Amino acid sequence: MNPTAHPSVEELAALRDGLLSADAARGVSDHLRDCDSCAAELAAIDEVAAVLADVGATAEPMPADVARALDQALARADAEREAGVPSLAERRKPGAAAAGPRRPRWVGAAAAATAVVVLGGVGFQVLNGGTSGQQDSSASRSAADVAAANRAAPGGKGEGSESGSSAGDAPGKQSKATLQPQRVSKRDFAAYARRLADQGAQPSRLPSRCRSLDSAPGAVSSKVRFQGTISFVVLRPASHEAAVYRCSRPPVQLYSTPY
Amino acid sequence: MAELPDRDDATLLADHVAGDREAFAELVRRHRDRLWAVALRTTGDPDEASDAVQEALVSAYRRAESFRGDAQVTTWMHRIVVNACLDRMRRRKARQTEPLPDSDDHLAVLAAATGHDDPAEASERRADVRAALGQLGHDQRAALVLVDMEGYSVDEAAQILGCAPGTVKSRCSRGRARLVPLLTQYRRNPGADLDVESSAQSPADASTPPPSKQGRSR
Repeated sequence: MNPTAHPSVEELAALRDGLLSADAARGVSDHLRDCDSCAAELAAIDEVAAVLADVGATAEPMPADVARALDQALARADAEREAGVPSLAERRKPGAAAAGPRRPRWVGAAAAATAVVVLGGVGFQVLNGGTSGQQDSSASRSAADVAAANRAAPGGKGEGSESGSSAGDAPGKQSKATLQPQRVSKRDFAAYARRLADQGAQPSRLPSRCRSLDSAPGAVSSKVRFQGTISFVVLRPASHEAAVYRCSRPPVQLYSTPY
Repeated sequence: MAELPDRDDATLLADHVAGDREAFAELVRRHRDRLWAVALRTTGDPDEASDAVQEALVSAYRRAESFRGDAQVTTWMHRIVVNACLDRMRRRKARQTEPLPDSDDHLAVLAAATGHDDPAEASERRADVRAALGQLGHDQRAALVLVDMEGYSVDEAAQILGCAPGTVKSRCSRGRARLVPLLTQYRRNPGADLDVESSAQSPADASTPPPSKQGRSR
């Protein structure tokens, strides 16, 4: 290097951090020996690092309102998990949906068949034999909130909320099949239909191959587990008829009843 | 099961995966201040930092199974938070291409600032550092926050940022060089002030050397 030319700040920093080639480092070092302003500049780089370290060492605790919002967000995630949203890993496991969860609390929830049905962003808390306490109720609300928020803002905040995570967590997919559908039998089907009607629910989307089923005005559909298979309940308020279909092509009606 | 405070981070995370409802909250309680500081310093904006920390930790809650145990839990948490910050900053940058709106005003603050012995000065200095970091690119800033401010080793920072240690090193080096004219008021060597004053007047040009120092050669 030309001994009279001043190195740039970047070169001085690179020398300081051992990033220059041996030749370049020798040149800059030679220059530094005779140039006070460059030596001062090099010292200034040290001072920058010192100021950063100083400021970094001062505590900057999370403000109370931020901590509160964070706690609430985590409580929602917790409620979602308790409500039976399978974790990413469990969704990926072969046969995970049928096999059910290995988490103790889920097992309890599944055994009691109190699963909260959350479909297409709409949560229904279905009453059951009295095993669902306050906790389940808040769980269903929170899960519904999350799903609804994701749905309400497809291009907004919901998007990327899994930043850095794998695609399997995309919010859009969340409402699809990640939630355990309610188990319904013939015996309690009419009661289920009445509760569904009472919820005043928004129609959830049926798979396209049986979209025709809920074309009637005011029809409400809901995904359930019926006779061991994922099925869709369709309510037809006009005729007060409830029917459950397997969504094969064409759809097969499994059962129907007035409600 | 051991009391929450007695469990180490890895145990807490494993317990969380196993269904323990308290474990993750404890993990967050332990580390949130540090994660917050990183997010705040990386984004330079409390609102962005708050959103980033929240979305990152909810994401960490949900995908705790993906933690492989080949890094420390805190490194993993930092990685998710820093990534969330960088994602948000990139998205924000895509929306608005202008530099920080107050960069000119900020220069006046920089020029006026002197010592920093009382608490007000300290918080002013903190704000100055944050504003100066705001002049850097995201990558340089994130590297400097982790290494110089948070005291992570270059290797740890590389793990958090998902890049090679050499990359972290050179980002830090170039970042510091760019900060020299932006933090002149904190120089301890008064004799050197004149030298850098000229470059401090236009932070936009901070990447180009001042006129007296154009003898670049490699």
